[in-house]
Amino acid sequence: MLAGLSAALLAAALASLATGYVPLPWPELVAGLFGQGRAGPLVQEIRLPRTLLAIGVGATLGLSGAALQGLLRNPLAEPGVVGISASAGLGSVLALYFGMAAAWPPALPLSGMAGAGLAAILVLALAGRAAGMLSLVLAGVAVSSFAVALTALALNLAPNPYALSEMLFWLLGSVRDRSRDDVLYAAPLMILGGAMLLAGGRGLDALSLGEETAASLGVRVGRLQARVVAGTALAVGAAVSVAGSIGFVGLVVPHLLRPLCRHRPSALLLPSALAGAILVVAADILVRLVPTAIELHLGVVTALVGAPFFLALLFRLGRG
Amino acid sequence: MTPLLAVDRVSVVLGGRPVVHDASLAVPAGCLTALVGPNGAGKTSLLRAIAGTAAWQGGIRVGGQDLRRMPAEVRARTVAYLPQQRDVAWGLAARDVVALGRLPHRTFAGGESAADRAAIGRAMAAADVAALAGRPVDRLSGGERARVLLARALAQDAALLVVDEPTAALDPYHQIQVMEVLRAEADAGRAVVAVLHDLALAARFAHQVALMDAGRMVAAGAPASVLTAAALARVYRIEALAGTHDGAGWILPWRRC
Repeated sequence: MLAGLSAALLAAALASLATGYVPLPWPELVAGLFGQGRAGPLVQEIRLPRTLLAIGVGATLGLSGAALQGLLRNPLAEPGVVGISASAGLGSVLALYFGMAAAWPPALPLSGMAGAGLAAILVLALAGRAAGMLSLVLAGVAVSSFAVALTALALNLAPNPYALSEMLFWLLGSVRDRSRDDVLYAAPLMILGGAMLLAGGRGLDALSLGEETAASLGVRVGRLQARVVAGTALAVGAAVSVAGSIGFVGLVVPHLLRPLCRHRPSALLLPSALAGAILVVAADILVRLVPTAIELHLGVVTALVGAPFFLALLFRLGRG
Repeated sequence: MTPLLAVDRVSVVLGGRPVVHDASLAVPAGCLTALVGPNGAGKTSLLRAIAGTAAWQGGIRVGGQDLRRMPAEVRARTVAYLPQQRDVAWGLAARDVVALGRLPHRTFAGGESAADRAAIGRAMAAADVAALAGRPVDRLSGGERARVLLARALAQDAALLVVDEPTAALDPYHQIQVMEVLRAEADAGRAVVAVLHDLALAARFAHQVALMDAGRMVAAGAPASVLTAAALARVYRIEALAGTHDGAGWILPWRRC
């Protein structure tokens, strides 16, 4: 399955590189990838960062969704439930609001990451060291609602329509017109956070028998909880900081793959990362192909596809 | 000879309330001990302390080692614990659940070793769940699931096995089967502590019965010497019929008193 997903991701990435407003024949595209020929700057400065970010954002969302579902033993968990997404979004909105992003572009992602980090510290402190998963979810919901409220306040107090639309569009999520710098800021944190999440696999397997049994099997449940929240904060914080909020990937992807992984939380992690990447790259190709007057935002498309799926999932859970 | 499990004046406080008081208990290797007592006597809390999943005051030694000083991985290879809670998240297959009992024995990056596979096979055979290997546990009956989870604890291959109400919600056939499995594990050299509500099973299968009441250890010893009419009246407030059959004692709770 991993080989199949990797091949599909490679194909999707190549298709993404080949998609754009300027048609590029394959030989020029390949040459451009290596900085050669007329298409070099276009491919290296525009299409490659866009594709790499779509891969990174999708992988991060899929992976952290799978890890959180395993940690909370709940198929409806996703990065949003621990307050990370909303807080990273708030950080970035504040950078836009106070004009820091205009004065110094790196302020936008850095502020988003600071928001995610602060949220993780707050959630873990609120949930307590030895406390159970319910208090973690409650803390996440509390932090998330506060971040959403502050974001609404920033939008409310926007000095002019231009600032308002800038913040709003940013929140809708997109990997359009991102620079190589954005990739450079986000990638190390995504990789570090992703590694922390992947390392928790066995603990997540043990947790499927409950916190008590997991503890009796030698799993330090408090530490595992902190590692998953911190890994999510690093990876998803970085993703939201460069791409805005892109919903439902972290929810839908692990759910789709679970039966194919014999329902084992550890076996679900890597495939969810790959499939999340495929989904976001594919959605990002879609937004460029759909002929609308204004390009659709990535987060809008994933939510449009994801929300009905979420409803169907709830419907099935309710009946089952 | 030092007992495999030595509980020395252990107290457990839960939410500010003392639930276990100065309880002491010794369980040698090869001994199946039934921990009995009315609801709220502190049996589960004492069991959690022995399993290392609840905080306690006092001394607990397993195999001569201080439980408090044992790193979590070492403790997990020494003490296997089957809690009352039998929920399993996701639709894990029965064999995958049993295999989780091998986690403490796995190296950081390694997969299942031959020893792991042997222990899993042995545990599933002992608990009579080999035929369920590929079935998702969320589709099993309560009794089948209880036996799969027992196999999970057996696969841990620990010197001390502590189980909380292993026969709850099982039909008589499977109650007897589970008790036979626990007895066989003890006869094979493990120390087993089982919280039981069924006094008949305790009297029939246990080598030793430990009776708790209101957080204190009231008595511990051979079943017939602990489950006396006077003790049952005082602790449980019941009268019971008792006798022997095939050389083993039996008890039947009959009426309140």
